[in-house]
Amino acid sequence: MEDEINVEFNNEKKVLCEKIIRDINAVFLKDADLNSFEIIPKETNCNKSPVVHVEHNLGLESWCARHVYDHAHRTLISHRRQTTQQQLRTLQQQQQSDALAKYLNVALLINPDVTTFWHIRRQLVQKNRLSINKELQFSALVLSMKPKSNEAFAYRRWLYSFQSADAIDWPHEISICERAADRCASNYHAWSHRQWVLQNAPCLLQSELMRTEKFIRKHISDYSSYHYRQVLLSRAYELGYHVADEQLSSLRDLLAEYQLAADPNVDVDEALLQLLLPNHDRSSVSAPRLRSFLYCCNVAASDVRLCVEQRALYGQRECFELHRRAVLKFIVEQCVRLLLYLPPVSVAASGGSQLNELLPQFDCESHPFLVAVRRAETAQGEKHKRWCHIHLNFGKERSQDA
Amino acid sequence: MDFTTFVKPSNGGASSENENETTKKLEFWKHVEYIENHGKQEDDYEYCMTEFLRMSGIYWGVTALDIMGQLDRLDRKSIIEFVKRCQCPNSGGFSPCEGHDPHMLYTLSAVQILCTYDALDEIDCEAVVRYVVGLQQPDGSFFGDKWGEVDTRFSFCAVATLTLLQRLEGSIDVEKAVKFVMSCCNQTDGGFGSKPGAESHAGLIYCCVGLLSLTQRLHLLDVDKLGWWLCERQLPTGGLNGRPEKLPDVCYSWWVLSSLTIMGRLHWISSEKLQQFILSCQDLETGGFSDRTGNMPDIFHTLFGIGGLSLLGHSNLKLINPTLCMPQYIIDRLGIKPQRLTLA
Repeated sequence: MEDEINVEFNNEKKVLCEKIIRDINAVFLKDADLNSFEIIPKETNCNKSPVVHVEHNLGLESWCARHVYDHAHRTLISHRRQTTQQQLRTLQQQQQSDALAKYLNVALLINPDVTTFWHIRRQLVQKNRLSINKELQFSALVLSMKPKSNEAFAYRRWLYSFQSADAIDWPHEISICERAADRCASNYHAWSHRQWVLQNAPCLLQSELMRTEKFIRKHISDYSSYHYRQVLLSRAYELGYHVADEQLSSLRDLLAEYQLAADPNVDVDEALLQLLLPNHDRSSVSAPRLRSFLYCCNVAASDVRLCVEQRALYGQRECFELHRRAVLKFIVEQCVRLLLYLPPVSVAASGGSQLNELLPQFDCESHPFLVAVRRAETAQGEKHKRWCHIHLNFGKERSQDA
Repeated sequence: MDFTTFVKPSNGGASSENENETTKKLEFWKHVEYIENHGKQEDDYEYCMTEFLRMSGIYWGVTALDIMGQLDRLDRKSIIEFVKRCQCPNSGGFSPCEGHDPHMLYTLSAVQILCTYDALDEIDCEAVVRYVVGLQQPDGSFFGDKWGEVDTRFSFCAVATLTLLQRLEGSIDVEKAVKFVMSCCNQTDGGFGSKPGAESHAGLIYCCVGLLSLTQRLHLLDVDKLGWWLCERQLPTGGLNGRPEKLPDVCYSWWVLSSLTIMGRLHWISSEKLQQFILSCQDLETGGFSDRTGNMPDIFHTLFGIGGLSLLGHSNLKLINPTLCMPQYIIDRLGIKPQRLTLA
């Protein structure tokens, strides 16, 4: 008797789950602009549909999530436990693969971490049962629910491999990353994906420089965004990026703070180059590279000031300190590399000399900027001094500094 | 709007109620019970939701119990049978559970379980070697599976799997694998990310340092820079985070500590405070460890809590090998000698 009751109960559960899955998929069909999904915390079952659809937002009440997931999960795993041949037959057949997609939609919205379910979707895409554009939309929906989902980002990269780079809406992809990063602090996968976008669309460099400056001003403790900006800066210099008629005021201000006055009798670029690259054979470096050097150092200098301002506004924070060091190091490193007639470092380079290996080869004493930086930076507390010693090799005691 | 930006700096997240407690002790038998009973309730929702990583879950449980000297509490035979069933006959790789697709992550976990049980002869090892070798890319990196995601975690899994199978020589291109890992090193802090240019992350640092340890290439590390960065992970409460400005998490007690141990710099961290933090993450009712004080425990954080305590020299625990995260006596039995830098 009890077994019969259990079977009946399980059947009822199954029927209910099937209905909920149908309701969810009905929303997918009805709303082409669906853009968010969430589980609505509601532990009691009020005997009405747990599927909520309001203005392009889809919700599923939490009381049914475990049952629906369990049911969808079992169905999908049974499919996968068949032989390869049997699975292929299901994928080829329109009705059956549509059914599979319905379970996948629900299972992945509730549990986006299940790699195998994304694989089934990939197979359906390969067999033209799912369209790439709809899949991009689906993965964006998953990201609205779980902004940290690496599976969703990885899926998007895989989908884009079928499209040519110039057909892809890269700014839209950046906004997906930005939305995910905004919702979830230090969102590793969102920023990593953003680097992938930048690699494919280097034309976005300028807008990225602007967007990231806004982002770090607002998200003061999100170190992932600061790290990305550091990579952006290196990439800009690597690509020789610069902007015409740039006043370079941040760089001038930074040098002024180190008590280095720019010669007012020559033009701005020349004055700065004299301070940063004294006694340097300019003919050995191309003019565009020098312009890029000044432009990027100026961005770095404005970030130094930003960190100082933010510290004054919000108090001491690890992010401000770390970013200030990183951008300062950028300026020092690019100066030293130019002075040693070395090419700029590629972001993805392995090997090649690190800055602290190069510095000892170098006579810093004849370089007013480096001397000034060393003097100022080593006077900023023990911890920072130790950092300078490790990263800028400035720890050596000099008689002039005593 | 990201409200976490208003979180006060350097708080560590510890709840105040624990601060007045005297030195906590390790709730040894509670943890044994917790692991033993893990997954026994058939309709456990969490268990169903985590089926996609079951192989790793078993590895975490097996390793934690073995470190506690209680491995015989688990059914060796049924675990080995489970592992065998998860080997994919086509690719040679291992799935996390039946019905799921094979992946590098679960291939390592499967091999780790079988090494612990001394049962490698139960599976097709040659097929595993072929699977791993087949996933290496021209730039030395590794896919996680045939669908093509690259991540330094997979590099570590590949090298660790082959090391445990005693097949690192003459299989993959080790030189290129090392080169790829080094291309993921960030000059600004000496740390490593998942791909070239990616942010330094303690978990990925463990994977990269571990790979360098297994390939005897630790000299490529800038120990001062990286050691510094790793020590900066310790917060005033004693716990360790994985990246700047993040909350402490018990699993980082493993990844940061094991990396420092491999680098010969374990003493750069305050062990007393860390031990207190790890112990505060114990669930005194159910057993097991949670990510931080007051949260729900899980098997993942339980292994890394136990592992961290073992590295810190806790008396009731067997030695754990920092490179492979397996009991040291197993690594000795296999004759494997991952490189470790001397204390400095």
